[in-house]
Amino acid sequence: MKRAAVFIEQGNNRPNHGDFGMISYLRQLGCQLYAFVLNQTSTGWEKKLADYGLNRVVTLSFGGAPRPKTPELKAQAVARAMETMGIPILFALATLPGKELLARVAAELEAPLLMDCTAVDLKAKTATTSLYSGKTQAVIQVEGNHLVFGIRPHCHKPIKQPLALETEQLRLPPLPGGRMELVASQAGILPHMDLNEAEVILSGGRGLENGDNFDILRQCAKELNAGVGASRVAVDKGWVPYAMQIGQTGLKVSPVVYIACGISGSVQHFAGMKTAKIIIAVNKDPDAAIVKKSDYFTTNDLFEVIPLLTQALKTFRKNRE
Amino acid sequence: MKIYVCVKQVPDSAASIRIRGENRIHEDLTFVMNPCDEHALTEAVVISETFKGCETIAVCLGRPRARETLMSAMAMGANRSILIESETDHDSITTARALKKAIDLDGTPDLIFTGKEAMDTGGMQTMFRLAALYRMPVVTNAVDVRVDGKEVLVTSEAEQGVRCTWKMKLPCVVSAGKGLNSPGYPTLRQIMTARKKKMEIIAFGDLDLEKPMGGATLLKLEPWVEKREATWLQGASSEIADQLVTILHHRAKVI
Ligand SMILES: Cc1cc2nc3c(=O)[nH]c(=O)nc-3n(C[C@H](O)[C@H](O)[C@H](O)COP(=O)(O)OP(=O)(O)OC[C@H]3O[C@@H](n4cnc5c(N)ncnc54)[C@H](O)[C@@H]3O)c2cc1C
Ligand SMILES: Nc1ncnc2c1ncn2[C@@H]1O[C@H](COP(=O)(O)O)[C@@H](O)[C@H]1O
Repeated sequence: MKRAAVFIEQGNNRPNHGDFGMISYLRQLGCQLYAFVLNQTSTGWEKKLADYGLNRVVTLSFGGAPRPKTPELKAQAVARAMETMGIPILFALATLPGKELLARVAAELEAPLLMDCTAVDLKAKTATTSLYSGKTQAVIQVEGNHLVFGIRPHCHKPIKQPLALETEQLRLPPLPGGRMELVASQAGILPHMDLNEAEVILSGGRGLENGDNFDILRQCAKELNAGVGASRVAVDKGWVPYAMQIGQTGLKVSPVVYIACGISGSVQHFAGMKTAKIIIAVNKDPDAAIVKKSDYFTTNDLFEVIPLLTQALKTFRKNRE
Repeated sequence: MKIYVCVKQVPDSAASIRIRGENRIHEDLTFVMNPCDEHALTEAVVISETFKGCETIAVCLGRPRARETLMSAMAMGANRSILIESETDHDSITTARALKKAIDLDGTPDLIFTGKEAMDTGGMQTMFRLAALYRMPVVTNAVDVRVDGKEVLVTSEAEQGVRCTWKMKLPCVVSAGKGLNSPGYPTLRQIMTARKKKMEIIAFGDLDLEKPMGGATLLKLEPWVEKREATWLQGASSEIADQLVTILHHRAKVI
């Protein structure tokens, strides 16, 4: 069986929600999945991933040298591990850190990299992704000694198929000194859920009228464990930070549910969220573009619907307990 | 000091893309400079103004029509430009190799700017490939860049708005994010001056690139079809809230 490596980014010392679906999907491709671990302390997530089809965890060490912390050195470590073990394929979730790591590894190995794939065929060496800001779907063929794929989050369902997890240590020579040095870091301006990771996103646009009103979305998001996004208008008006912008010049997200509140659904906004499984539009205007391109819509006022939804979610939770 | 800025010509964001044959698009569209590359160029021009004798050179791999994009680059302040002319599209491995070869033929870069992503077929990778070919360090999605002697401080924005400031030695590669600056429209005078600036044209074939270790070929292109059928949820807002809970629970299974 072909061996493939997966890189599991552990932002908060745990894998991304999307990793489970990705692992389940990759298992169907008929390859043995090896995860590389760069940090010393395991938090037990490997076992959880093995329930979805991860075969082996390979812990990398570097002859006593410190573990790689910068994206540059992490990528070098992954590239060296692939070469040493003769693993020709690398997958990771196409989140922001995932994309950067994959691109750095691909550059290191001069391997082709297809980003944001929804399907991969390892026999034909093809993958399906979107081009031209999501206006087209493309099938691209790759060739090379190494192949790298970024998998779009949430596009595959997690399926439990437990495996006995194997573990292995891989000793690599110390990495060369890094050429980028972290001198300062600033906490995120978004204390909420990472939008790349969120299964549900509530987004607000011009219809929100001001920055304070985004609290209506935040309250609802709390009940849903959702992320909060925005249209460019909301960002340009200074209501919310750019890191929340969804669209062609912002984030591209693929949640299970995208709830657009007071957003008209411009082509540019759609470029960032059209791959959501279910789109729900809350827009007073039945002629707004988003309405026709949604799965469900309401033309009631968002200032009524969203607070009531928050209430209904609270009731739903209480009834279940 | 020499700053090279990689700029790509891409279809305008509002353009509707029509597919031709198996894997090509109709090119009767409006083409513009890739938005992130405008930020890259703007920053390079600002930096070069603070260093005596510093030159900003825009480099593009593209069709003959990309002359327009390089003309705008020079109107925005680039001192001169280089077009690697090609009638076909190239994957990012070959693009990076071509850009490097053209830059090498021209001079020694102290700083290379790119955008963080090409809006059309972009894979957010050309900057890393350029850096690897040059063995230079690279930081992506820059929102702040300070050149201080032989060092550069680059602040990049990561997920959830987390910001990291990185120190690198020159020469290095920086890819520009949207938050870096606000590109302005060139004035009529700048547009006129641009016409007198030098644009060098190199045929892609003349670069005589070595065969890379791997590559990607676009086999098939199809329009994205929206397969959604919009259902109108009607009633009082409280009823709609209940319907939404049902959808989130039963259909989406997220609660
Ligand atoms: C190069 C380029 C790049 C761009 N990139 C992006 C991008 O990345 N992301 C992005 O979002 N945009 C982007 N845009 C901008 C885009 O074209 C639109 O202008 C923008 O998306 C519109 O934002 P909006 O939907 O919030 O506002 P509007 O289009 O003004 O829509 C507001 C909507 O809210 C509804 N509404 C108002 N009040 C209520 C209420 N109380 N209840 C319910 N509904 C209400 C209205 O009916 C209306 O449909 C880009 C544009 C260009 C040219
Ligand atoms: N054909 C090209 N000509 C010049 N620069 C390019 C070209 N393709 C990509 N780039 C640069 O590389 C950046 C990232 O592109 P990409 O990796 O395609 O997303 C772009 O923002 C440009 O700065």
